[in-house]
Amino acid sequence: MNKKKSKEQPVKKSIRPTNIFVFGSSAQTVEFDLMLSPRFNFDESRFVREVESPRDADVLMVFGSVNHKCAPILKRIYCQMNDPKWVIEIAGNLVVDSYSVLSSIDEVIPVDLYLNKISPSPLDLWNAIGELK
Amino acid sequence: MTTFFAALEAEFPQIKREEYELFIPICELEVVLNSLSEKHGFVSLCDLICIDQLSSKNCFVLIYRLSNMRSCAHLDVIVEVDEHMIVPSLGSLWKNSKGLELEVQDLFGIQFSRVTSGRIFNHYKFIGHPLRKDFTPSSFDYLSHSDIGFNRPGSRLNDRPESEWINIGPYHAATDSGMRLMAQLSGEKIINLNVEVGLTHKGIEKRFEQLSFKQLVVSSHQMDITYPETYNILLADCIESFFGIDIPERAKVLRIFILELERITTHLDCLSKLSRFLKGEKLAASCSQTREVLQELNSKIFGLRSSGGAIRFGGVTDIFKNISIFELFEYLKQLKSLISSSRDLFYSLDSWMHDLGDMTLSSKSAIEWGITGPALRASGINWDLRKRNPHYFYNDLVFSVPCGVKGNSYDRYVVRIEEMFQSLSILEQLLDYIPSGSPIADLSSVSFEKVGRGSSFLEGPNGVISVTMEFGGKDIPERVKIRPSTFPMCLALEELLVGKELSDSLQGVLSLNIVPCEIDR
Repeated sequence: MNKKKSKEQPVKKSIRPTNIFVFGSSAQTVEFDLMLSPRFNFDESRFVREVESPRDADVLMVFGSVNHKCAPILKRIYCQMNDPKWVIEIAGNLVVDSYSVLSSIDEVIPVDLYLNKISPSPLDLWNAIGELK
Repeated sequence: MTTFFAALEAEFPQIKREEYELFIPICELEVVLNSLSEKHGFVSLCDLICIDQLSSKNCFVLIYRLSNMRSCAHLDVIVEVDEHMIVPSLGSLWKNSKGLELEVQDLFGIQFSRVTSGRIFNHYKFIGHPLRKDFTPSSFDYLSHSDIGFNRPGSRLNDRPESEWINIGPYHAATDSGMRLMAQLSGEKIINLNVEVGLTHKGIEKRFEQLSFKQLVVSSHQMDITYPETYNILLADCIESFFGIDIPERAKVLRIFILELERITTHLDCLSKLSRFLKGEKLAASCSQTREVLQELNSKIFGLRSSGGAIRFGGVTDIFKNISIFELFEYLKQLKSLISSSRDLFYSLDSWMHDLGDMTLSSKSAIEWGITGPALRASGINWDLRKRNPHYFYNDLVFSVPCGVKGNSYDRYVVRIEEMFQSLSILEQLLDYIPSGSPIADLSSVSFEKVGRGSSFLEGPNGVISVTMEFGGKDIPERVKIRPSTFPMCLALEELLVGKELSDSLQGVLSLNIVPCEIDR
């Protein structure tokens, strides 16, 4: 019973920081850099950490819209992540009615949380990670 | 120019000419362009524009836009092309023509000789050609991935054991976001390089064909991250100059103010990216401090942390509503002292002069590739559109054009840093003269019935950007073609990086400040 619970909410139980892999091309990734910058200093709190490889990551953050050419790369990155894994989509519906852009990344991979804000502040991103817990 | 046209008409008597447009048959294309580039000084190919006229004339119209850098004149060579015709490729005349031809081939389906079949922006399994008027999107299996852009010579087993392919990107510190480099190494030297773009292709040009002028000017901010307003100004200017709309003097001053502010932001971002890449922590901190002052200023003027949302069709919103002139002067003073401290730091780092000494772009190859902006000026050519063909009030302003000597990465950064000071002095001069009145023109009596083609050029932060629009008598454009400033640099990478060591060349890629999201559109 306990085991099952911890499987559902491992982020909360674990002592280690939440490892985040960032995938994105749009202006919003600037805000993620800001979130880890000394001004906001979420990095120092040891709850959030950006990792270089998807194999170490718990959470995949996808910023901006994804097009057909980028979709297979995104899928490959998702498959490389270890279970359990979560996906947050941020500002994915900016471009509509285009021949090359996916309407949402849930056509390719399952999404746990949608953050539909055009330019999310670092605090919004922090709250979104908190929402997963 | 009259002597030039007389000489041209004597050489090719059968050519039809309307001012700066030459209409020629397809069979004479190579001969005429060859003569223009070698005898008459049209040394660079600015743009290749394709317009779909299948419904009215049953053909495509191809426009080769050539530029004469000495007289700053543009000449359009216009050819009518059938759907099934194979157009001669011009790779021998201009080096950047290969990339431009591949773009037309992808989006319109016109075949060029000597260009490999394939796509540059779309997925390799994509069905149809999206910018044709009769295009209907159909579903396809986009999840299959292939390294089709990277044709490896032979199979992997046949590769020489000492050479190896290395993948850089698409999200790497050196390639910004959304550009992928594939380098074949022999030892530490790059012997072969492939560049893949199109990973952020959004189909903006197709979307523009459905938007009215007012919507189009506002929504063009998607073109770029760091200088969105430059594109808004460019598109607004193109439409206004075609329909003869005179914008108020106050709007012109405010537009120059925004252009120069974005130039400072872009150059600063480029410098801070380098300092983070080379682990210059002090310089990075100094840059981010300056960036915060800029963000504060932006939030006072635009109401956003970045610039954006101020340009309207026919003018500008009143951006100085919530800020006094004294406050603005105070901000400029603060920026000047912060940027000079960054400059002193940069000049004091002697080891960087060695680190950034690689990747020399000579003035000859810069012109052949059609590169403009700081990268061209760093190679020693004093060419700035703000001086050559002044727009708005640029000829009343006092500023100088900093140039480099060697054309290496270090020179490019020096040019960028010095340009920031010139832009600051322009901003100070503008604040001395801000005309009063409304910054938006009255558009109630304007009719959009004129038919034709208009274009506009601007000196953006990374080089000359231009737009060409086809108007069909309605308040929506028939075709919008944007020429991004960094596309030629991206094409030139394949030549620049070969023969260099991989570890030294990545800062060279950064110094060009290639913006993939602008290239992909």
